[in-house]
Amino acid sequence: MKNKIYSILAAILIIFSSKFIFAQDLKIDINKGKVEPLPIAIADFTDENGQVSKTGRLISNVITNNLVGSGQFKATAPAAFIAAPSSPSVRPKFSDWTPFGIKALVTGSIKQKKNKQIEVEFRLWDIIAETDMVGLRLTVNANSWRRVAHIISDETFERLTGDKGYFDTRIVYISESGPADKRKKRLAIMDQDGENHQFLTNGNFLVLTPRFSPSTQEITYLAYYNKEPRVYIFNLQTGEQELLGSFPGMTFAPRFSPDGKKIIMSYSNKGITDIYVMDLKNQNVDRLTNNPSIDTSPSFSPNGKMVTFNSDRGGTQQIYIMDNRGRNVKRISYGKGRYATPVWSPKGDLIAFTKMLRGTFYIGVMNSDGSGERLLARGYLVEGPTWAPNGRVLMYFKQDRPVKGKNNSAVNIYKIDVTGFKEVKIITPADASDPAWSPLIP
Amino acid sequence: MYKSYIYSLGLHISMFVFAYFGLPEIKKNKVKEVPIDIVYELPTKKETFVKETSKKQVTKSKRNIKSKSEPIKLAPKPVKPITKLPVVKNKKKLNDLKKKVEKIAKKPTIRPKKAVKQVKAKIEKKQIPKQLPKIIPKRKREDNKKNNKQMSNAILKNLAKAVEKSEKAKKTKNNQQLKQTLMAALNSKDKNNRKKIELGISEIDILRNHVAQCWVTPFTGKDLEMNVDLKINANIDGSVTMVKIMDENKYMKNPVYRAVADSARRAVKDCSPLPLPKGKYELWKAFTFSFDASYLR
Repeated sequence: MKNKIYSILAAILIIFSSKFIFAQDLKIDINKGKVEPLPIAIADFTDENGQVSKTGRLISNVITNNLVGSGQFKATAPAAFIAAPSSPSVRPKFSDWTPFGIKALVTGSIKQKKNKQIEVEFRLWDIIAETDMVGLRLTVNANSWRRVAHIISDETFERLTGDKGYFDTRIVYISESGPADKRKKRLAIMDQDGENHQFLTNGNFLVLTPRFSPSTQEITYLAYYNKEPRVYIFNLQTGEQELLGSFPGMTFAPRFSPDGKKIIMSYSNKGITDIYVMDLKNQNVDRLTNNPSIDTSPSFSPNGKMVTFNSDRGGTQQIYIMDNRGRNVKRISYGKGRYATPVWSPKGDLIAFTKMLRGTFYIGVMNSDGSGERLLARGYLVEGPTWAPNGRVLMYFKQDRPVKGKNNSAVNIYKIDVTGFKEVKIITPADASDPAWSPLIP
Repeated sequence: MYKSYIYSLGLHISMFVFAYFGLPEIKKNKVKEVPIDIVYELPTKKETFVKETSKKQVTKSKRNIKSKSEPIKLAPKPVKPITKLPVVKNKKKLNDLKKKVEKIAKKPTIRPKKAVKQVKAKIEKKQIPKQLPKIIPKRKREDNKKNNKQMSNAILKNLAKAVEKSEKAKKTKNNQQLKQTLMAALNSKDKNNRKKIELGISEIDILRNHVAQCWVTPFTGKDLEMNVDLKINANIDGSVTMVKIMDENKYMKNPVYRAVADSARRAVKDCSPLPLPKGKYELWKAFTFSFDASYLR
């Protein structure tokens, strides 16, 4: 009797379990899509009366340039708008925007306040979902409208891509001028789009390889002051320069640790170049590599536990990684040619590098284990990659092939996204090289 | 104690049975998701197309109806007059019939009278015999009766045997027919089920391709190690009435998830109306799209 009951129960359970499994909702996987710039419209910002103001137009232009320059967006010209929005607080008529294939819309307004202050309000709309996505209101000095435009660009970028923006950042670089035999190299700083340019040194001494600190307030660089190559720290707020230790040989290729408490650099003495790390608080120096070869261009991983550098210990210049105590050294580049200037991405997934192969230079990226090498840019001389704080865009400098009869050729800074889709030239007052990207300005 | 246990068990079983047969949601034959990657140039088989298969099914069913209706409509009519003909034995009736035939024949055909007379003569010669039937004596008649009885008994026996045989044959035939129909039904069910699954796959592929063409995936999607599920409600014409991001918690907390979810929602709305198969509204009324951005890796 019991057996029968159990068997009936088991049968019922089996039937029900199978039925409930089949009763699941229909689910369809979409595992393919398009990778292309998202069509976006950026309306000119309006004033209190709902009319387009001069500053409003400038702000919308900066936002447009930022977003389009990222390679992730495609902007529609304002002339094509059916009805320009009058205020960000007014819900736009979405049907006016859909015919152009626009997926997102940025609207904004500017109100004049006391003491030359302006109140900038913006809103991002999803045209297809017919909803607002993000809104901000900022009160700043009227002169800081450009920074406001960068902050709005960052907000829009983050909301639509899910990644942090990189527009409210600065670039420190080497400005070059004069003939080849008397080349004047000065430290300069500018916004990531080339605006707000400023020289930091007067060009009396040679400067090279500037690098930002994580706090964005300090820059470390190599300077040939009194014909002695030394690593210095420049404070942006005070304008003071500080010599970083005094060694009998040459120190170069400095870079901050992710926490900003240490500086990793190369030190060359008696023909041997090794990597050292200096604690900025007590100026204690630790030697990380001890090899008769040339070990240089060190760069910390974002968590500070690993270091990448290039070395010719294997016969040719290749990229290696090791832990932050100099142990477990491992070669990761195995492609043809020579590899140099490895820089670990702020996201930690990629390492950017310079590659030299058959007389041509390349900028590329590879995974942190050396796999998945991709070349993004090439040229007569392309070098010095630096990462945007979101790890999605690279900046580097490119020198054209010299024309016959001339020693000099143009050197410019370019930025390119990691897909290699969009390369943008940064306009600078003079030739520019060796850029270094700052973290987001706090 | 033991009785109450049996009662409760019985009640539970009855509840399960009621739920199983009563609730419509459980009985729904919903198509399960088939994990297949999109291949744009995948040649879809003709059998898997909705329209074509539905057409085929319709033609098949029409044919079946015709085959069933044929013996009902056509068979009885020609049989009846044949069975009636031998019954006409009276000369008068025959003559009347002949006259009718003559009248009918006269009206449409304008033939010479001689010919008509010749025809009459021929009919008279054939159907009215000149000699009368012979008179049989009584004894012979009795013998004949006896013989007839014996014959009739034998015939009856034979008939009974034949009836038995025919009944047996009918039974066997019926059994065979039943078997055949059952097998056919089973086979047809299997085929239908197979076709449904195949149909589902091709239809899902069409839908996938349609939505994939509208999905502008943010490049950050490659870092997203999960799918974004959207609940979709659609009208009969395929127009989307509602798109709901299912995991609101992740949507609020994870910016990458949010960006991908927004892009997926835009894709569904942008692609509306969706190419949902007609006649399967119950299936498509509410379903889930699971967007997977791992293809960017």
